[in-house]
Amino acid sequence: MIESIRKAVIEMDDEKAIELVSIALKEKTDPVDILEKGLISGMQEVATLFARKEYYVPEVLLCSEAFYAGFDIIKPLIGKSSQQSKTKVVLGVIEGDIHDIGKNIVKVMMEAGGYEVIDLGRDVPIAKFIEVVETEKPDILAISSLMTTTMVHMANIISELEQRKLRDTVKVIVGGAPVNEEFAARIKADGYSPDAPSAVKLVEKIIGG
Amino acid sequence: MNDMLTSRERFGLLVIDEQPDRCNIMPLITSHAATVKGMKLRDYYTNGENMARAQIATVEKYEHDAISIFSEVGIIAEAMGSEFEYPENDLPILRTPVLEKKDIEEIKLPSPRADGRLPVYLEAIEYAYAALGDRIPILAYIPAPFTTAMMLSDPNKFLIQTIREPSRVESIVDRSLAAAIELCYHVIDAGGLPIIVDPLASSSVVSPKTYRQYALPSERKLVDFLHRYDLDIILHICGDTSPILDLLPQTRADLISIDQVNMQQAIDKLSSRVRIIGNYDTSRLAFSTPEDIEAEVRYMVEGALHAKKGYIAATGCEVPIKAPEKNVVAFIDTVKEVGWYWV
Ligand code: B12
Repeated sequence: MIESIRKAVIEMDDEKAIELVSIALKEKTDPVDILEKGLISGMQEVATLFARKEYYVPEVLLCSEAFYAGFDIIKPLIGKSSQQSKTKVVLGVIEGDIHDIGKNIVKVMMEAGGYEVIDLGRDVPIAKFIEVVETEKPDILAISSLMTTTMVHMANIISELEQRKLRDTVKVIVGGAPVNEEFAARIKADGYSPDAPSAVKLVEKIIGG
Repeated sequence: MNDMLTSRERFGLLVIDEQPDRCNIMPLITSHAATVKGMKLRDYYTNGENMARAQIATVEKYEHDAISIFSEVGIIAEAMGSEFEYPENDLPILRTPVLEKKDIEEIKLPSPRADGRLPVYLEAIEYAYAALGDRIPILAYIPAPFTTAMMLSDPNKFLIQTIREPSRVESIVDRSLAAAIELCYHVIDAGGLPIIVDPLASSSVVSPKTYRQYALPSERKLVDFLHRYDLDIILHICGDTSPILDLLPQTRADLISIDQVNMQQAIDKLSSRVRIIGNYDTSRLAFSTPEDIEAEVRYMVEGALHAKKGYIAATGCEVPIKAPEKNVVAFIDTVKEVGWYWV
């Protein structure tokens, strides 16, 4: 059963995911198993297919619909007991930039990785990032930028956090096509990763260590 | 060596498969012109005369081979009802896609002389053509139907619909094609040479299958329409297109402009059928030094100069708005040094 749930995610079938998760619950399968070995494991396979260029953005978005369809049923049934669900990520695309396809993929993978994600959307003003860091107190601030013109604002967010003495309260990670390791280091971000699957691993590493 | 031809003659020879004096140089210098002219971006993309003057000043400064009339790929969608915001110093930002408020049937075809910023665009073309049209091609960037279709929609929903609701996507793309054709009539009349840009068709986003299903047929229909005017048409797709290189000639475009693709691979696959344009990394232009740029551009041009049906030295995508001018100069000067045919 769990294997079929996993398959439903990979095969982009949200109706099937709902049906199978409901049946599994009726059969008293452990919701945590359904989540981890079914839904999340399915999304991990999707991440691999994406990285291998067998799946492209639309396919990943459809798989994530199937994932969420199942996840919404499971969510109320599992306590926030695991380490991961305590980790809060605030995610947004920088001011002046409307490229949000990559950010959406990062969001999906992070949620599938069990993190709580607050999505600020695209073209997010610097002040908004700062405000949300203050009010939501996330563990991770994840900023996406797809343009050389907008990526420089990332440095401004970090210096603004420093000025407001918020820098130590949150780990900042950055990504998007023109961003690289060197740039991340230069602006004193805590991490960078080139794609969504590795972004999840990055958060794991930062939080774990 | 000194130029012997005008930019117009140079392009004219290339498209009849004759070697010009030197390689055409057409880095995609679009909104970067506002920086060169010291103009606020909003003043650039909301006023045709400003746009043309900035472009003219930029060509006079860099001496490259094309004027590029463009601000962003939303212009047709805006004229069809999508709403944009105009930040003072940023490109327009999509706020409300029209399909979030209306059905496809309710969306009207744009009147290019009246709707959105299409009049700005046409004025810019006319102004530039009057000033320099006899000497230099006035490239007018036309967002391709597949890309416009996304700009009429919520992008996420649209991408999902490409798989779930193909007939809906087809009808949005069809409507966008009709709008593009409408705009092209006016662009040609104003003196512009349409270049088709289809960033959404990129394999950075959609699969080759999706490309074949929606983007390729609509690109081809637009090219076919433009060929009636005996124009030589450039197709530009940003990002990675290596998985669809073999399909690109099926668009019947005469020149193909590539971005994040290995140039030698593109030459192997395309150069006996189309002229290749590309593909210096735009991030390098923003962040690298003139010395590094010189070495890299030299390598690129030497490898591509003798592509069978010809080559245009260009950047992979738009020159970043704030790219240092000395870097752009390094790019252009290097091609002028190594890009000669008449020796
Ligand atoms: C699709 C696309 C568009 C679409 C965007 C639709 C949308 N809603 O997002 C449209 C057509 C609207 C568009 C518009 C423009 N675009 Co555009 N676009 C692209 C393209 C082809 C693909 C981007 C994409 O979606 N990739 C797929 C996703 C899945 O990949 P990704 O975004 O890189 O994200 C992955 C990783 O980077 C990472 N990641 C992303 N964010 C984060 C964050 C964190 C914290 C971490 C850890 C990781 C991470 O994980 C993601 C998943 O694996 C790129 C080309 C390219 N090489 O990227 C150009 C590109 C980004 N665009 C570019 C430009 C210039 C523009 C325009 C200015 C063009 C114009 N004049 O109209 C406008 C911008 C308007 C604006 N104000 O923003 C340039 C930017 C150049 C530069 N260096 O500054 C690019 C790079 C093309 C190029 N080679 O020059 N574009």
